Amino acid sequence: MEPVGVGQQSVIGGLSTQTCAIAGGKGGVGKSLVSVSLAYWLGRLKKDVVLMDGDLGGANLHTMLGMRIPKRNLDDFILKRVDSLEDILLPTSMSNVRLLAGGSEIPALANPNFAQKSRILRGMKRISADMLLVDLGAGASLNTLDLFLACPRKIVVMTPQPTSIQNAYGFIKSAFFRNVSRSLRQTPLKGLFDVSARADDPIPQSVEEVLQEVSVGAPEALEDVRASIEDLRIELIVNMARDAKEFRVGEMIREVCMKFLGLQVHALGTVPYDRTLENWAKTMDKGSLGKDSGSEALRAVYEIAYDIIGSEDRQRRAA
Amino acid sequence: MSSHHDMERLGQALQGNLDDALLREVKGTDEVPEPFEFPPHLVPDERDFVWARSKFREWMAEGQFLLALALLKVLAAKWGIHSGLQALLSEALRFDDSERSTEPLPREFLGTARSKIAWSVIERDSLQFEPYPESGEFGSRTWVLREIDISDDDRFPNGMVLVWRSTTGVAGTLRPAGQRKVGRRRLELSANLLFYGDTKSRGLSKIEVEVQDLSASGAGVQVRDRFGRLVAEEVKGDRVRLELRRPGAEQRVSVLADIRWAESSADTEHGRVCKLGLQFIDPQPEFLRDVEELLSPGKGDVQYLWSLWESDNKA
Ligand SMILES: Nc1ncnc2c1ncn2[C@@H]1O[C@H](COP(=O)(O)OP(=O)(O)OP(=O)(O)O)[C@@H](O)[C@H]1O
Ligand SMILES: [Mg+2]
Repeated sequence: MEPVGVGQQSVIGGLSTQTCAIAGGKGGVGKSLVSVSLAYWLGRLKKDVVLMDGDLGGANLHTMLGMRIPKRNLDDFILKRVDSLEDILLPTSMSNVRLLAGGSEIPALANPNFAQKSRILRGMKRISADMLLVDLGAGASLNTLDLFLACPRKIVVMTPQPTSIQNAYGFIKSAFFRNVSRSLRQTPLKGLFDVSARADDPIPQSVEEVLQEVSVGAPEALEDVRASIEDLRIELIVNMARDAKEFRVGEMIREVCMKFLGLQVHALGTVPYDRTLENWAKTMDKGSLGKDSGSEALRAVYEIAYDIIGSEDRQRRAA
Repeated sequence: MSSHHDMERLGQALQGNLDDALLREVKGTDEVPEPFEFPPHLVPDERDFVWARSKFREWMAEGQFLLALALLKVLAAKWGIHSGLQALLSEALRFDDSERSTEPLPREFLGTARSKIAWSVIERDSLQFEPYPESGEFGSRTWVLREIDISDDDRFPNGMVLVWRSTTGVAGTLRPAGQRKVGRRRLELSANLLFYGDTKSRGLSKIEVEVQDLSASGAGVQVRDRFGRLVAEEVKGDRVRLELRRPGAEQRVSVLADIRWAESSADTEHGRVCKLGLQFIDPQPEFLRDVEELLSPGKGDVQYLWSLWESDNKA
């Protein structure tokens, strides 16, 4: 086991490649369930996993793990009752998985200030684990986007429903623009792509348009922006798919992202709709899960977990 | 000297009359003059702004877009970020009447329709007077705002032109008068074309086309004609009906149109590709509403997403 944040070459935004954000524009698409079951399998595959509730405004991941009121949570760290996030990690019923529960005392934490955000990121960097999974809140607030972008591995969960498709694309697009925006902080275009659709300055339609606008308004930043776009890599999980047709929605998102944002979105896997999984989500005793090898959804998540480990190991060997 | 007098003088100078301007003396005709020093006394004063605004609008209305922008630029340099000037810039960026002038529209010249970006171009690019015609090359990086028809001998100082040194590699060139390229949008949308008359009697009554660009008055469509049924020379001038469904809309809408031009590519293994230019005849409100939806900015990608979704659901 080694500290997530140290000794790694591929440290982007300070967090190592083993930090993985799980997001999705819409609520209820299964972000938490995917996070928990991923954590479950990664733990079973002998990885030391920390599962973090990254929903700063509405922490509830602990309930899915059978904890009513977590003994320690993020508040303790923010309010400086402890110095390290390590100090508030809680054991779970899943082997090799510890929980970093979200806070509830500080309502303002839904919208943390700069100092709080940096404290959280610094704390995350120092967590010692093989894998840090961050279950993000719904929506695409700037804080959610920033946390998402800070994680080297970025997963978006969606379902085949039209609203979820639109939300997933919307989330990816917001992340894309936020990412561009961050490379423009030192230029006259600062903040330009953050404002959504003002009549005067509509959000660009495509990556070409973004590059064109940057080459006009801040040519000195063009290379940075181009690099930041090339570096952005997003992975997609389609959850609750019911038939072969629904499995294809990820493909649609991939195509639109490529065509309009010049962004490579990789399909990480598809998780079928599965009642066993839904029931498991309610049992609160995640330890019992492994015995249910009949769950199609769990098998699909296992494949994803296996893939993640494989690519992490490849990256580590390359480093 | 009143500030207002300076404003008048600035207006004159921008139009090429430098007699009264604070210009260094130029010794010989070979010597490039110093950049023109704009009057130093300009302060943002309500009366000056009102003058500038009316001058600006006057020039825009005359189709002297670049002169109007130059005025903005000079004042921006003197006044800094000024909400009134920024509003004028937004006004200029929305200006759409390209028939009015052969000059590029402000948004074409500045390379953007976004006011914040345009403002940064205005602030960054440099503006100076240079002798004509050395600077008179029309290119993507240098714009001559005004040519003065004057003999070579006495071109200083009145033979000067205002030159905008743009670092924006994208500014266009002067367009041939009357050419229009606005209010259209590129898109990919499948639609049907229904034929009548001769073409129909030759056996072609309906063919699937892809709408590639669209405006309220016409459309460019492409046909992949696998079986060689469509002969460009024959359909030119035909009256047809274009039938389309906006992604997400319940109903199809249609419009009568004349085929204004038609050209077909060489035959390929996939058949022949034919492009047709349609001019709409008396489009109905519901058709125009859908066109407007299709043309509204900020939705191209989402529309594309839905068209993928719909074609997948059809399959
Ligand atoms: N593959 C699946 N098959 C069946 N049910 C599922 C599946 N994935 C998720 N669910 C169910 O959908 C519901 C929402 O899941 P979950 O709480 O994980 O979503 P979420 O995206 O984290 O929501 P929130 O935005 O509220 O945090 C839960 O009841 C869960 O059991
Ligand atoms: Mg959740």
